[in-house]
Amino acid sequence: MNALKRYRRRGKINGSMIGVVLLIGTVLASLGLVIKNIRDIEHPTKTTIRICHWQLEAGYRDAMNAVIAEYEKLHPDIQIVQMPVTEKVYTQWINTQLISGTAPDLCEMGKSNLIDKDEYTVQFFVPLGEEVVKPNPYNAGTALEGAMWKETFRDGMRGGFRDTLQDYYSVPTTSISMRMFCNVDLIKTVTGSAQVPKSLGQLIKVCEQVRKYSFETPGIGGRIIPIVSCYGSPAVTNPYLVPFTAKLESELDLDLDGQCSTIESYRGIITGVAGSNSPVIQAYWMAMKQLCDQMQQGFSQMDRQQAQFQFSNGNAAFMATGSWDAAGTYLGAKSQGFAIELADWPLPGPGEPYYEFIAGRANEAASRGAGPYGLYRSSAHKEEALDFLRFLTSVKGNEMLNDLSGWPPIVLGSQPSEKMLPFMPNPDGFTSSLKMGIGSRVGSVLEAESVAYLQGEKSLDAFLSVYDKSLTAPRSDSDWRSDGDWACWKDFDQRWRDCRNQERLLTRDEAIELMQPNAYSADRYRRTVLQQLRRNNGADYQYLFKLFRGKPLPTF
Amino acid sequence: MILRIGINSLLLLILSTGALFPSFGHAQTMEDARDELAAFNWDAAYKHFAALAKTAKPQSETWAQATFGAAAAVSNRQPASQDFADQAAKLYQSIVDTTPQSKFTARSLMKLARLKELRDYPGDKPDLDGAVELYLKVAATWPDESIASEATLRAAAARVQAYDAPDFANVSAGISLLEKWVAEHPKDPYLSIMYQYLGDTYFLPLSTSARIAGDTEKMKQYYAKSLACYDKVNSIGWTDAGNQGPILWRCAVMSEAIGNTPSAIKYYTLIINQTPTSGKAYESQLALRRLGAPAPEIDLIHKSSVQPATRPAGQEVSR
Repeated sequence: MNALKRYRRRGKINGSMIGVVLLIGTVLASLGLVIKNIRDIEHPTKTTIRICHWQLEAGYRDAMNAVIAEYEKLHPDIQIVQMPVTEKVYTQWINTQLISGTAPDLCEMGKSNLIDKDEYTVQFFVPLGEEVVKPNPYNAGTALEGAMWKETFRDGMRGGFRDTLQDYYSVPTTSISMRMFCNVDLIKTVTGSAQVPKSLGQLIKVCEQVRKYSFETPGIGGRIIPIVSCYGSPAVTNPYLVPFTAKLESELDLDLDGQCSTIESYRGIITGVAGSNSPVIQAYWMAMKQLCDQMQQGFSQMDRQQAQFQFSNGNAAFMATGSWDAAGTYLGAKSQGFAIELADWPLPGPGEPYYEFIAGRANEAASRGAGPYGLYRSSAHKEEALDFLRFLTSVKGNEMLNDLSGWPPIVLGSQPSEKMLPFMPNPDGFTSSLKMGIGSRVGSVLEAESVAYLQGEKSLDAFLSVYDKSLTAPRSDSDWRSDGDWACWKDFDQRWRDCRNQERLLTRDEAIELMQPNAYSADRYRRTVLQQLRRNNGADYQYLFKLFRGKPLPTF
Repeated sequence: MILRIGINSLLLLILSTGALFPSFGHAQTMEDARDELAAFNWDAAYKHFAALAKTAKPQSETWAQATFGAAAAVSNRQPASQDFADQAAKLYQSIVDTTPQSKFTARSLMKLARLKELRDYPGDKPDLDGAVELYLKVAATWPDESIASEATLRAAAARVQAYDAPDFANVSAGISLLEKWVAEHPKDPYLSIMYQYLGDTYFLPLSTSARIAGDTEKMKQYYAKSLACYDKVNSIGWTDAGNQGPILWRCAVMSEAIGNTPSAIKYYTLIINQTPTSGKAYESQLALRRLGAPAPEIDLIHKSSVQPATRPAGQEVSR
C-alpha cells in the first residue's frame, strides 16, 4: 500500500489506472480459465463425449465418475465429461444449448419443453427404435447376453418410449419410488420399542407420543416433529388415495380398463357415488387430517431441503420422500448416529377407524424407469455417445451407477444395494383411484383448499363446499357449464389433438414407405393406426359426456 | 491496400448473396426433402418439395413424388389452418387428377379422405360422410392392394364416429362393413386391428349405452360379441403388443359378467403372464383365487417379447 502511495506521489500511477489494471487482470484470468476448461474438455487426442444432468444429490456425480472411469479404461481413446447443472437453471441452460447447437451429446431428458414436447423432441434428439432392439454388447457373459437392449430393463424400457411418437427417445438409468423414512432410534427412545408402525392407528399413536416427548422433555422444547415431508402434504396423502378409493372402480370404471379416468371420476362425483358427502371421501379426508396433524404447523411452507435437514439432524421421527434422497439421508443419519428403516405408509388395520374403506396398498408394478438420457441429434460423436449409454445401462454399469449413488437400479440382474431393496417396485396391490382433481382448474382449487383444511385453517365442510362449487356450479345464470365440464372438454380437446399429431407420424411413415421403402417400419405404422383409431378423434368422449350429463359436450 | 479492400468486398458480396438466397450453390435433392420430412421439419420439407415439383417434368413420377411430399408437408405445417389444409388438398387432388397410374395416387386419394375426417384446428368440422365416400372409392379402385383394407377400416371407423344414439344406424353400418371385410379377407394384414376395433365398438358405444340404460341382457349380448372379437385378436396377435393389459382386463371382467368363467380365468392369467407391469396383475391373482383357479406368480421382468401381429408373407402393407 505504501509502495502504491509512493508511485502515486511520483506520478507514475493514477487512480484510474488501477481500474484498468484490474480489468485487464480479470479478462486475462477469465481467458486463462476458459482456455483451461476448453483444454480439459476438448482433449487433443481423444474423442470427447459430454453428458449433462441435474442430479446433484449426494453420490450421483461420484457414481457417474466411477462409471466413466470404468468405461474410459475400456476405451482409452474416449473421454467422457460429466456436466452437472443445478435443476434450478437446467431448463434455461439446456434450452440455450439445444437452440445454439452446442448441447452435450447425452442429455438428461426433462424439465424443458424443447425436450418434452414432441415437435421439439424429434428436432433435437435421435430416435433409438433401431438401436434398442439390438443386444447390448456390454451384457456379454451375463444372463442378458444376446437379449434386446430394451428387454434388459425392468420396465421394458417403457420409461424411454414416447407413445405419441411411437419410438424410443431416451434410455432410463434408474428407478424411483416413495417411502416413509423412519428414525428408529428416536422411535425407540420415545416408545421403548424400535418397531416401525404397521398400521395407521399405530403410526398416529407413535406420532402423538413423539410430540408429547418433544414438548415435555427438558431441552427439546418442541423441536422434534413427528412427520416431515419433502414435498408437502401430497407426499403423505397421495399414498392413501388408491387404498381408500380403489373399491370405487367397480362402479365408476365404465370402459373397464381398470382405471377411473377424469370423465368417469367426474360422473362418480356428480352422481353421488363418490361425491363429497359419500362416506369414503369423508373418511379419506378425515384420515389425512389426522395424519397431517402430525406435521409441523404451516407444513406447506417447508421445502425439501428443510425437511431433509430436520430429519437428518434427528429432529423428525418420519419423513416422506423418494429413493433419490436416500443416499443423502443415510449419510446425514450416519453422521448423527441414528438408524433408518424404510416402510410403506401404513394403512388402517383391522379394528381401527377407516379400515372398512381400505382395498389394500397401491402397487408399483406399472412404475417406469427414471433418469432418462437422450442422444442429441447434432452430436458429432453419436456412435460413441450411444456406446457409453449402453455401458451405463449394462448389468455392470447400471449396478455401479446405482449402487454408488444409492439409487435402485433399473437393469435386470443389476443388484440393488441392501439399503435400496425396500425401494424396489412392489407389484402387490391396487391401481385405480378416484381422480378428485378434475382438470387443472378444479385441481388448483383442490390443492389450495385441501392444504388449508389439512393445516387446520378451515373445516372439512368448508373445504369440500368450495371444491364442489368449483366442480359443478354453473359459471353464471346464463352459462350452465362448470369447471368439471371444462375438464371433460379439455380431455376431448387433447384427444382430437393426439389423433391429429398421430396423423403426422402416419404422414411421415407413408411418405417414407413410398419414397424409401427399405426404411419403412410396417409395425410402427400399424401400431400408430390402431392407437389413432381407438381414440376415435375424441367422438367417443363426446358421446360419453352426453350419456351421463344429458347435454352435448360444450365448447370453450 | 486497394486490392485487400476489393477482395473483402467480393467476399462480402458472395456471403450476402448466400444469405439472401440460401439455395444458391446447393441443389435441392429429393433426399434432402425426404430427410426434412422424416425429421418433421414441415416448413423446410415443403420448401424443398415445392421447389423440386416446380423443376420436375409435369406429371412425371418425380413430379408426383415431389408434389406428394409438398402436400404431406404443407398439411402438417403449424399452426394448422384452413389455408394449409386447402393447399394440401389441392396438391393431392392434382396427383389424383393427372397421374392416375402413379404409385402416389392411391395414397393421395386416401389423404384427401383423411383431411375430411380429421380436425385440423380448433373449430374445424369433420366431414365424416365425405371421408367415407373417398375411403370407399380407394377400396373400390384398388381392391387387390393392401391400401384397400386400410381404407375399409377407416371407412368403418368414420361411420362409427357418428355415435348416433339411440338407434346407432351408422355404428351398425360401420360394424357390418368391417365384418363383411374380415369374413372375405381372412389373411388381411389389418385383421388384428380390425377385430380389435370391432371389439372396441361392440363395447363402446353399444354395451355401454345398454349398461347405462339398465338393459343388462342387451349389455351381456354386446359383451359376448365384443369378447368374441378380442378372442380373435388374442389368437392372431396384438398389434400394440405390450400395451394390451387394459383390454385383457376388460375381457376378463366382461367374461365374468356373462358367466364365462373359463374365459375369465384365461384373461386374468394372461394379464399376469403377458402384462405383469400393467398394474392389474395382483388383482388378477385375487380374481383367480376367487374363481378357484391357480394364480401364477407375478414376474416383473417385462414380457413384451410377445411378438406383435406379423404381416402374412408376401403381402404388401399399403400403397
